[in-house]
Amino acid sequence: MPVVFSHLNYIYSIKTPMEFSALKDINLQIEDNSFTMIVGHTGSGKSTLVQQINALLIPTSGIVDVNGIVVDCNVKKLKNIKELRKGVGLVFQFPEYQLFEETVLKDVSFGPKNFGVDNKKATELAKEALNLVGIDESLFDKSPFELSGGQKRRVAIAGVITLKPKVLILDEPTAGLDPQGSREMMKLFTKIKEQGTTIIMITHDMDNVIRYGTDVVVLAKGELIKKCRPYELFLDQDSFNSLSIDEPLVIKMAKRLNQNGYHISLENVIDIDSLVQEIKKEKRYE
Amino acid sequence: MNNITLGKYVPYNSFVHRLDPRYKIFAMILLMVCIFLKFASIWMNFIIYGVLAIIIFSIMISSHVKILALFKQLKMMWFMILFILVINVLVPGDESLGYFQITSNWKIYFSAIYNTLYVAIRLVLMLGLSMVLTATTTPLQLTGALEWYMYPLKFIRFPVHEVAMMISLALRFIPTILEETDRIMKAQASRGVDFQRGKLKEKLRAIISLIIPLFVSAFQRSDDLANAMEARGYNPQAKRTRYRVNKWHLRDSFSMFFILLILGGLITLIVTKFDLVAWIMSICA
Repeated sequence: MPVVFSHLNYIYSIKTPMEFSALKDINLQIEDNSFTMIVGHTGSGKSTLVQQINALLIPTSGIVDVNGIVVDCNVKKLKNIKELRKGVGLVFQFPEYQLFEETVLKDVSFGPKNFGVDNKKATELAKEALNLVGIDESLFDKSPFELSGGQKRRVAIAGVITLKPKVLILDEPTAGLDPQGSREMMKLFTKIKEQGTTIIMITHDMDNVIRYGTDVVVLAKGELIKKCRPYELFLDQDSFNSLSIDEPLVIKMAKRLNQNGYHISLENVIDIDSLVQEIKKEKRYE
Repeated sequence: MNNITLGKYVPYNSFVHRLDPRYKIFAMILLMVCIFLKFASIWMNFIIYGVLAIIIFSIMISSHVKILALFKQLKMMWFMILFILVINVLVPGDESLGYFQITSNWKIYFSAIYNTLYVAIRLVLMLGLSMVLTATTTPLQLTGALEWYMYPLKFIRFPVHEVAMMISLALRFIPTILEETDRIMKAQASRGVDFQRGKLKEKLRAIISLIIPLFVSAFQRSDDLANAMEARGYNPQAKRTRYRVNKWHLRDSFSMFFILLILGGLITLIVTKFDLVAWIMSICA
């Protein structure tokens, strides 16, 4: 399901002294079944941008088109808003704060029930989602508040993916997790992407961007700076320095090797394994 | 969540914004007293209400408080005004002001209608005044001023500082909790919760899905805050200095003089039983 923004503007608290222009003339297309990373400084408009996709925020001007469902400023009460939200799942930062039910299973099946799925089917969907995120069956009847931080987050994410959205938006899903938990989380999202879901993820972790992203969108002060393949972001030293984005370790290493006579194409370097492969290739040619 | 206009501080730099918060509380109380004064005749009452309304509305305009917002708040008060009217009609009134004879033993006194009108006007004016106060004074300034007023209570061992700290903490967290509410509502909305429409049962579930996470995070937050305060050595009994010290300026004296003039004038009118309508009529005659 492609997501298209055209001439999108968003202003917070319009016509008050607190007026703040969060997004300025965004023109962007997010392709079907991509893993699009959104990066930028705090306050660059990342969260505002993704909230336009499922009509939690309505654009001040311009349109958002999600697979034919158009959201623009003229629509006061969207008729197909439920349909839109069913197709677009949004996982907020620290999603564990949305848990409220008595048991894990009930909490996860809350979503489907809201969209009119009957009890039995909703429970089935919930179990499926919980299996996918790796929550053990023994925890299904526990209170979500008894779980550990990482488990809570998994349950909360299960609560969104149980609806099987076509587009899954994630707002810094790995924030506050240990490296192990973070890696497992990313693996989970790759699995979800393989099932045909478009994933849009806000992140500050450039290693994840280069490792998992198919596209990267750079925002600064509410403006779209760049949309490109992740490695392209690091080709031009000046441009990413000015955006104060950190260079991923593997890219840094590959660049250093190239300076010393190697000819590694950055395009193929996404993690340590692929870097090793590239270096081996180089050896073979010599 | 951003549509809560009542009682929200709006950062302009108007004359009223710059006034001393202690004085603003004092002035609001004085003006409220003015609103509740009773004059020689009904018409006199309405004339004074008109004058007070002009004064209060011009204060509102000069401090950028929207009068329209005030009348939007009235929507909620219709029921109350209606209720007061019904009660007033059922209670025997002042026969001397005249009445409608409806059946042989049931009269509606004009005084019932006047009394209801008084209440309605007073409510509007009071609401306007409190809107001016909260829109031009930050919560912290307000608590600072309250603490200053409560100072004499220290002599009867009332924990003034602790209470002021509690109030300012509570006020401090209102915007945070509103933000949190907004976030949780959005999170639940993307799980398909409809906060606007739905049957009673669905609405109840929607509200539960908001309130429980809100409570959980509020407790979490207060726990963190208590730890953070203790870690920095907070001691409620300790003597503290202030970061912002209220200073009395000439403009405060000037506007205090103005308010006292109004109150004094009105009290004179009451004491002398002055009636403008009767006075004009006596001149014409």
